[in-house]
Amino acid sequence: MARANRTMVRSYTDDLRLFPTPAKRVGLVALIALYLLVPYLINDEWGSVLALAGIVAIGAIGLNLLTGYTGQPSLGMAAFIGLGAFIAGYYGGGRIEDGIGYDLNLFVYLLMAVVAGAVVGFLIGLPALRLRGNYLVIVTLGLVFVALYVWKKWTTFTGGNEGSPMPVKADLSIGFWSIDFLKPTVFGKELGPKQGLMYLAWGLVIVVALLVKNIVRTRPGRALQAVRDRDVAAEVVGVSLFRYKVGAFVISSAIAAAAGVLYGLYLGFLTPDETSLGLVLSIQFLAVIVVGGISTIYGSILGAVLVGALPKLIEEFVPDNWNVPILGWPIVTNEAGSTGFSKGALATAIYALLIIVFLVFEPRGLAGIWRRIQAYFKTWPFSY
Amino acid sequence: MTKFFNLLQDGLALGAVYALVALGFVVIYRATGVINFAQGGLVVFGAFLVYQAQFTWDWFGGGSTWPGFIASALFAIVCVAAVGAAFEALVLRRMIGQPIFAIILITIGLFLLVEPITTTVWHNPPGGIETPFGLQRITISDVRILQVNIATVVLGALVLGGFFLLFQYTKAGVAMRATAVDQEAALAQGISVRRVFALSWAIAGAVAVVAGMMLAGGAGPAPGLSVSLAVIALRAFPAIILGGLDSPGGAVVGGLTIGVAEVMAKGYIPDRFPALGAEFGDIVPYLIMLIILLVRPFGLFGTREVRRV
Amino acid sequence: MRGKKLGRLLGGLTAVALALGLTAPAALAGGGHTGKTPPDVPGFDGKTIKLGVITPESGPASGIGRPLTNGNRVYWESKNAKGGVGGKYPVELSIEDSQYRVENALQGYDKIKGDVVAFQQVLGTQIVKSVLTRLKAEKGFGGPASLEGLWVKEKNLMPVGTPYQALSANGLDWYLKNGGKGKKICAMAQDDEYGAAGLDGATQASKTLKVKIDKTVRFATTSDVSAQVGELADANCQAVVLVALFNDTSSIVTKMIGRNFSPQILGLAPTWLSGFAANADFGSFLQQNYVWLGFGPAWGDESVPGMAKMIADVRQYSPGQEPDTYFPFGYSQAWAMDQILEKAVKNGDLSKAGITKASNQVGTLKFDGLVGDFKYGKSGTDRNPPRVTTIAKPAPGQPNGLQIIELNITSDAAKKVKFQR
Repeated sequence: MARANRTMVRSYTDDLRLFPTPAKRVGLVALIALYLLVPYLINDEWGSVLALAGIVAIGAIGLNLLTGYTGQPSLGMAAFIGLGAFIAGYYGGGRIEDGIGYDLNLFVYLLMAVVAGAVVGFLIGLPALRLRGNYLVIVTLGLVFVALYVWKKWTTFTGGNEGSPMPVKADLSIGFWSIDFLKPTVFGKELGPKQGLMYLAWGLVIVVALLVKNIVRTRPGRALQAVRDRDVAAEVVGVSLFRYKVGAFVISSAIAAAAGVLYGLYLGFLTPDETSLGLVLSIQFLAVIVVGGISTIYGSILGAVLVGALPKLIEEFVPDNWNVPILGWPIVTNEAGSTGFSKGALATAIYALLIIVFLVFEPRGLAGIWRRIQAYFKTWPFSY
Repeated sequence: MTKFFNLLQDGLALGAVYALVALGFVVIYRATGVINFAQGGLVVFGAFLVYQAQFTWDWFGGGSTWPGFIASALFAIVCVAAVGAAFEALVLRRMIGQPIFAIILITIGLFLLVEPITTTVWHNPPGGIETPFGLQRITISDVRILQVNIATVVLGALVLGGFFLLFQYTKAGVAMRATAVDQEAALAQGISVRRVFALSWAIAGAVAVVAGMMLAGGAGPAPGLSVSLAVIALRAFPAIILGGLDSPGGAVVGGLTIGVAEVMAKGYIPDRFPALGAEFGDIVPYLIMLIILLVRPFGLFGTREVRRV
Repeated sequence: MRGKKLGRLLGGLTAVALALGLTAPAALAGGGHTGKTPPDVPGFDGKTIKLGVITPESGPASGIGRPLTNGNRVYWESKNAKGGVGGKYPVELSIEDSQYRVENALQGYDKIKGDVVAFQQVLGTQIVKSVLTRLKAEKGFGGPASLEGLWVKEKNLMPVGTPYQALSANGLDWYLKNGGKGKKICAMAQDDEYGAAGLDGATQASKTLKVKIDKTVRFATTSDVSAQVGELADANCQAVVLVALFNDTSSIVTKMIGRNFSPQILGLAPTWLSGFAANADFGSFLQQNYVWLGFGPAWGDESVPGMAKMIADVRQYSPGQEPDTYFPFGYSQAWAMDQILEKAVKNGDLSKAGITKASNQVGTLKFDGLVGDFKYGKSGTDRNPPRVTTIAKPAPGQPNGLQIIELNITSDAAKKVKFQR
């Protein structure tokens, strides 16, 4: 008898399996090996990039649940990231030197951030019930600015304009085993904070990805997609819009707040202003899920890695002074005052172009491209 | 009492700028059902093009003279209208039928493109755009009003009037209204929906230039040329929500109201509620927006959308 | 038994001999001669010293970052031509573009931190704060490119220049001595760290000088300020201490003109842009009402030895450099780092710990009048920043559009300003 395969299943359970084929299982082992080894071996420069990519991936998965699967576009990520980060600063011992806040275990304040995110998400989700599409985007945009105002004014919690230092140790103790993620010692070798953050971030990515994947592949997931496709019809059929729309907000905000905690640990210090917690941050997350592939989990991860590594890649591989071949028009230049993009401006421009290009030509994003490649090989030699 | 009138005129001046930006949004939404997040970017781009014509090329001696002012304005209008129409034709056309948020994201992508392009081409020019009004003022009893503010309000009224005439009495305007109601029916009637879309984007671009010009020339919050102009355009969102996404009159009323509310809040709140501070005025527009969305989502003058769930 | 004892004795003697052998040259070198090359450390390979720079080379803040970095660069080019630090070790700058964004800055920091002995320049208050957390953890050393009073007491930082608090204190004092007595004084400050710093200095000074700041308004940058200006106008303020950035100055001034409100504006240095003096719309208003609180001599004023040195270097190594307010700051930063590195080389230790130690031994950093001398004591908390301010008035045609009326003044009020932490 043929064994269960992704495309030919004989029972519901088989259809739901996360790793049905041997190939997928091998892939799983490989990924786990990568997770354990890469931070160990990588240097600080790329470690920094990959740690950030992991943090973005966490937020992106949460946003994908809300926007990709439930169809509620939200520009409010920055507000929740800020919430998570300031909770880390206040409860994690970032400001303990000034006698403010508490000095708690990583697990505790991470949990607090998740709960806080969930509560605020609930509060936002309620009015969002009445809003759709364009309106929801604009409202969440307003949310970002309101949040910034609140952070600036609530000086005890965030340090106001001065900002809040973040905890310098992130220790997690489970029974007899404890580890400080910002100064981890793995198999006797002491690693830097970037490597520790990589472990923490990507570990959380795995947890969150599993969580969301489980939601999505079972009944709630189908309900969410029904809400996305035709919400009125869904309600008629018996899908409680209240439960699923608000629920999506709750879960995605909780995940975003968790990402925020890590973001705070990564930055080391956070001031509430537009450059660090503004609209651009929210747009960045939307871009990640678009480029990666809306409504796919691994798409968000791929997108996060690409977007996170993009500035670095440009810096490494684009020459300092680059002209269009033959015509000699300058595209990239290093000096001020002369024509041509600086590398930073080029990064932003490419970033924006990526969004546009992916949306127009490959709306399913990197995940879509990967699926196409998979399909090609699966149907080879009949891949026309 | 003078304080009230001073704040009022400041608020109206600010509101006029918001109204101009909001009108751009409304034109596109009316015809295509899309909210163009890049409108702020077009405003900035338009302002920089005016700068280019006035300073770098020095047409007719720069902006402080009327010929120079009008020539540079026309140049920018033509360019930005072309950019808008091109964007619509090349990019948005392919997105018909895609989920709404994908389209929103594309316009956000365009918005993101504006900053690197403007900083690359023009770097960071000091100073702003010149207008024939400079900083002269006229005085009405005790209240001094900047001429450029009056000009902005007048321009806003002119644009609004122009829209009214366009939509009511010209063939193109009727075509736009028909397309807004039902694209397929319009197509069946022989209306070129493609042309209508392109035209609406072009008009929005033109309005954006006017807004950017007045903004950088001294009206409103931050005279001077920088990419932060785009941030100011974000404040126009509450204006269109308040007025109704598809109503030009609503955009103007909404813009003026939001402007006045913002300035009044900044003027009176720090005294009464010092804990809230002056920056509360900056988020008052968003709070108004939130309340309107909960109470009357289609705004003061927008068309009622009935979807009961 | 005896063999063992002998063995131990020999071992002990060898150890002592080794210890002497290793420390003696260092001790000799510490005596004042750079006789021996300091040992190789990350960033120093025995020949060249590498310093890191994290600055916005692109993006909105590049107008500040580029001239500042150029100032760093020109100083070192000139010094390298004379052999470098200690006459033997030229300095190389490793520049990372932060685009004024914290993530990019941190990634840049992580990229070069293993290749540099210290950071010459880190620009941006939020960025410095984030980098500082890492510097503290890794015991590194860096020079922040801003005048926050916060940096004064940080032992991992190398602040330079008069902090904002002292600038506003001196400004207030000068005003009271120059026609301001008995007038109504108000303040308008940006709603962020910098605004708080300038305001703090004015408040502390007002207590020392026994005057009252009648009204204070705050505003968010690039937002509409009509209401705030209106408040000051309604209160009939006769002087306004202005703590803002140059992109808000034009809107603030425009609103003042609109309200026919002409107070004496005491503007901190970042409020100014060279082009303002000649601006068609408000240039004359500024000429009548504005006073600049900054530091340093006029660009090109060769009567001040520090400026003369800088101009000579500019002529030789960067003749295209226009008069600029940030360039001298960058130049002074490099000058400060030079003095510290000289001490470190004398001590024979260019490691991170060695540089921090040198900064605690260097005493007072001198700049020959280019910026105020900064006393570095035996530890971070033992420092005393310069309390000098230069007062200038707008004047089109002068370098930077400013005409200096008082050079490097100081006052009791400024001297009494306290910096937290």
